[in-house]
Amino acid sequence: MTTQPTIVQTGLDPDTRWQISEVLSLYGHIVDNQEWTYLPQVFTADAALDAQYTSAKGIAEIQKHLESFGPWRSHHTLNTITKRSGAEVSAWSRFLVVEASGITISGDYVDTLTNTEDGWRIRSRRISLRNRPDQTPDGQAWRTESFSTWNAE
Amino acid sequence: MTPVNADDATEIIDLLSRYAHVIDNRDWAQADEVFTDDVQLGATPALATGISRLQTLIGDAPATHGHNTTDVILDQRPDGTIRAWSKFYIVRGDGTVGSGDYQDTLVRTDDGWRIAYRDVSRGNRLDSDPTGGPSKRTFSFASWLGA
Repeated sequence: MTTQPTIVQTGLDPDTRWQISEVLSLYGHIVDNQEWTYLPQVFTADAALDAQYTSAKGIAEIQKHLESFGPWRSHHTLNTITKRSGAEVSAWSRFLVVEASGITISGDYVDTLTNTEDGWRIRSRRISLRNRPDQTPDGQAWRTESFSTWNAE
Repeated sequence: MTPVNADDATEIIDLLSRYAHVIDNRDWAQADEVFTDDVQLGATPALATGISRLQTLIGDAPATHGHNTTDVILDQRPDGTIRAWSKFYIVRGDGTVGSGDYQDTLVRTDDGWRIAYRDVSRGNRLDSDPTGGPSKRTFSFASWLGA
């Protein structure tokens, strides 16, 4: 008999939870309006992005990756759960991307946020798709997030 | 950008969610839980003011394209009002989705936070868009913070 992993729930105080929510929401507004000067309000200078088949390190590379999305998509972040990880915060959200055609993409963001002088910032983001199982570039499976990973990190 | 405290943010997220339930169900009796009586809807002042005007604009047909609000960010203004910028998506009968944005001015009344001004943008839509044709993004950080 296998046992289910215990879901680790380490509550954030309301102020921190709201601040984290805004950082995650800012991402979508920046990307969709292509207002890149606001990226430092979301990411640390050395932040890392891992989108399974692409990666970026630092804001300049992150901006280049985000510019590749073009102006016709819309990114929505929702279903966020959070927990404290030492002095940092981890956040696991779903995203919904709306294409110009009205077709959608669903996936997950798993973030590690650090508290800087200017407020909470994402220092690493892992992006995984959900509803495109047959479309990886090399035929391998898309990475999936799970509570095993969430609890272990 | 001036942060808003968590208590106000919690109430405002509720308020913006309530908008969708009221509009989508045409539940006009609840409209005063969402809007001020003299709410301005849209950037052209003469276009739409007040809840009765909104009712006229929308009509009585049931809303099958439900509105879903996401990505709320808030800026506290020195005069006590709050500027809100949120994204929404609607789901159509054929399962396709349309996305847009709201930028609002919120005021605190004796009964809680209410929308005093709401502007909508349909965002970037192609010529082939089934509900209203092409459009371009009209909102920005400047329009959120500066209006």
